[in-house]
Amino acid sequence: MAAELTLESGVKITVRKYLKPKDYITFSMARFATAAITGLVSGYLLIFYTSVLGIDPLSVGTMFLISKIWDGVNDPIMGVIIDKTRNKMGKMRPYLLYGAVPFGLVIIAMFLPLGNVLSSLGKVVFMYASYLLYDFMSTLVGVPLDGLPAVASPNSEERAKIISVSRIVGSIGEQSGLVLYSFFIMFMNMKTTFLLMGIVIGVLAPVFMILGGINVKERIQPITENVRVLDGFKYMFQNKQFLVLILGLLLTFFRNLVSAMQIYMVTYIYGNGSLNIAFALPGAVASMIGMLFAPWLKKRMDAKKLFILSTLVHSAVLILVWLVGYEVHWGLTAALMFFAMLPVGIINVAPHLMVIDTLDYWEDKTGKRQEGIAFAIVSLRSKVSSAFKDYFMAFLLATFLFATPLTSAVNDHSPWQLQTTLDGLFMMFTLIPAVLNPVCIIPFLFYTLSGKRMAEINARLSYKRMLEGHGGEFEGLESGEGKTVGWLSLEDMLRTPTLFAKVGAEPGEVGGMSLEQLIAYPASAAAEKDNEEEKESGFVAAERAALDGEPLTDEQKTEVAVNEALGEYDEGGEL
Amino acid sequence: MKKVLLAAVLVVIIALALAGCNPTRDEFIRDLDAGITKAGGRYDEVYEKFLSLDRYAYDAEVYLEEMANYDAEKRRFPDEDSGGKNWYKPSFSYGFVKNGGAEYVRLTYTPHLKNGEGFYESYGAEVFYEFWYEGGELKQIKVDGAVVSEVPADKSEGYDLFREYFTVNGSVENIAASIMAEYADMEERKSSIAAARAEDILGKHLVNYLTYDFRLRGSEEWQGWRALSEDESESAVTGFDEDLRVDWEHADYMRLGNMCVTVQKEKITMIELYNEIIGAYHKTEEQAWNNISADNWYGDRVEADSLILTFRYDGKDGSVTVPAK
Repeated sequence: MAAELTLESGVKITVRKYLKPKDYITFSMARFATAAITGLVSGYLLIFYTSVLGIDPLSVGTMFLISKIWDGVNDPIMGVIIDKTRNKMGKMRPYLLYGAVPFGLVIIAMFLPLGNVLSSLGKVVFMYASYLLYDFMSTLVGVPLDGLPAVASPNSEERAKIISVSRIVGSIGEQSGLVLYSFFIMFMNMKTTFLLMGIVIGVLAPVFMILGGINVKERIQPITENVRVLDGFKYMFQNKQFLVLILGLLLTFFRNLVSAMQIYMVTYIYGNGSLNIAFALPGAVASMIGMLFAPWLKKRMDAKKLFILSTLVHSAVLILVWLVGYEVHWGLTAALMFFAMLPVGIINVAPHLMVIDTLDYWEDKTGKRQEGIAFAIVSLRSKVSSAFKDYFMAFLLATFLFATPLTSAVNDHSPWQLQTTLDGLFMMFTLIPAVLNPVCIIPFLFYTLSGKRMAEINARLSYKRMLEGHGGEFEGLESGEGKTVGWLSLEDMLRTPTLFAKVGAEPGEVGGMSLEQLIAYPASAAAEKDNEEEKESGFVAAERAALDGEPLTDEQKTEVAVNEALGEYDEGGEL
Repeated sequence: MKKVLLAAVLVVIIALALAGCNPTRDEFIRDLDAGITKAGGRYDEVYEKFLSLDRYAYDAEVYLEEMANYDAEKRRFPDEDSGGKNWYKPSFSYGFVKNGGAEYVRLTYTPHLKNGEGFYESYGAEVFYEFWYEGGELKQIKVDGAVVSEVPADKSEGYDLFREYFTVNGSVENIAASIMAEYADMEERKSSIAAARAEDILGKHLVNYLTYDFRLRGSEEWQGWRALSEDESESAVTGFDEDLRVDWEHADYMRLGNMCVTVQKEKITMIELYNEIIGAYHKTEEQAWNNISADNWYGDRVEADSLILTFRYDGKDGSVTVPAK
């Protein structure tokens, strides 16, 4: 299977495809499952702790923040473990397969209604124990799942597609909690509702995760072997593009207030918890529409601009909702929130594409590829953001004099809230995230991996992978004049003097060059360019080391062998 | 790696230990009293300013609801799905002017009348009342501009549920003044207060009290939670803070109050008073696993009311005059 990619010069590259429909389906199912768990925990855990277990919101917020100290260690360790894993299934899939069932059991345990059974201390201990276990399991399963697209295909287009598709499905999965809540709450009290939500998601999610783990294969071979925990942090600070991306994403937690505050809005402002679905479902649909338009928009502007623009539009509509106020009919607010959520799908997809770009950028620059560590840091970022959001939210609830439900004494207690509290809840839903969220744009201003730069990086990486026997992207290319050269592997192209005469480069002298450079570069300048590129080119360095009589590494020996084989073939080769 | 893991485990243990250190009852009461003192100090300042006002008006929004089928005597609902609500949502405006010993009160009230289904959703005609006082004595009443000796019966129709807040016939209670006076007597309220907070939020100063009162089985008196929960071995009320528990077999009602005064630019802008009446109800439940039925007691909201007073100060030149009769 093949697809075409057109470079700015007009050159069309034929890109090989690796992923089959069942890969997209099963990976999306796994994403659906983890998103369902995330949606359940981020949307309902705070209200479960405060309204069913009856724990003070500030204590819960403190616990969320403290638990991130554990994540600070837990996630990088998991990243290193993944990068060191050598298993016949790969380095990501084993964790997905073996971690799924324990993860499901922890989810069920988390929502046990022990409010009337445990003492005050017992409730806090239960809260810490169950949440930390959840945290550990979500790292064990979540980091490999996030990293899987980065190794499932060397084809960047496919990786972007599987991420986009799975994110759309994931955004539906994130609403599972809402659908279950809205259904169960019609027949039973809040306590039983939460328990049943935990059971349904805790049973089904592992099945979906295992299906994803069984089907999606890892196709990019691991490069880095000797990594330590500290390497994770070193990596973050060395790879500047990754660092600015993480900083930007870290600051997106203000935006997450919107979805987290929804249940407080409908319960306390509109006095009807079942309205939650009327807000969340259109929001989810809007977000999905945004995701669907993301690839179309990405063709017109790069991911960075898209992210910034979407963030600003999201804030602008939230401010409009705040100006309209909550004393209007809830239907109007829900309708306006639909428009506010349209850019959120784009905001959700763009950074994940950027993370893989930073991995490719780093591999191109240093020869190292550290998916495990990178996605562990992304996971840690997500949890730290979530903890910031929870703590910030708990802090604001306390500031706005939120009256905590008296759950030990009263069934399904939704106490009266003061006018200032209601104003505060509405501001937490609209104005506060609208004003604070654009702060996340600042780090993105220093992100420089544009579409053109990434096309060059990907071309170089594909060529390198082909030489290393890890699979390349190219099967054929078309010249800038529109004439089809033929369906060829890059290896074949390197063996084809006619082609190289046409594009103006010498076979065997293209190491470290982008495909655009390869095609456009005049033959007379090729040798000079090679000298400049030597430092970055693994196999040219290997050649030099061989000439200098230095001992070669196994990797260098392979590269020299490939180069020699190509050189021999070039001498007598014909089209 | 081992050292890192050990450090992580230690951090978690310390975090657990710190988080688990909830205050004892004595510590909680001590902190609560400190909160009452702080909030009370602020409240006294606000109250003093309120008493010195000689012209103000407020708009009142009232909301009352009750469970339609709650049987207070048997403490149960006829069946699971019978918990429909009756509600009542009147509003009125109150104006007050004082000049020396002369006082003037005007009240505009739009009653909500009961419809056929028991809900108070239809509006009666607006009624405009005026009262003149001299030296504390009522001197004249006007209803819709006409002098009357007392408020006619047909003009007070539909007030039944509202009487808890004020009475029109003969005099008008200044609800704002009543509420402010009630919370000014801190010794009276102290045993009920479960949280007292004085906070500055978004340029507003708020004094907020949460109160818990109970009516035990067979008693007609409301009692504050503090004394009731003191002796945990005998009381129907145990614990404190969010861990407060009620033995609903031995308590009929719990009243949760939430009162707040908001001050902006040195003037009261809002007084809020919210009450929830939690009634005990009894339910016999089948235990599915052994087919034995068990008696269970629950506490659930059977009545609730809210009163929001929004103040207006319209004295333009500072001069205060009581209108001519």
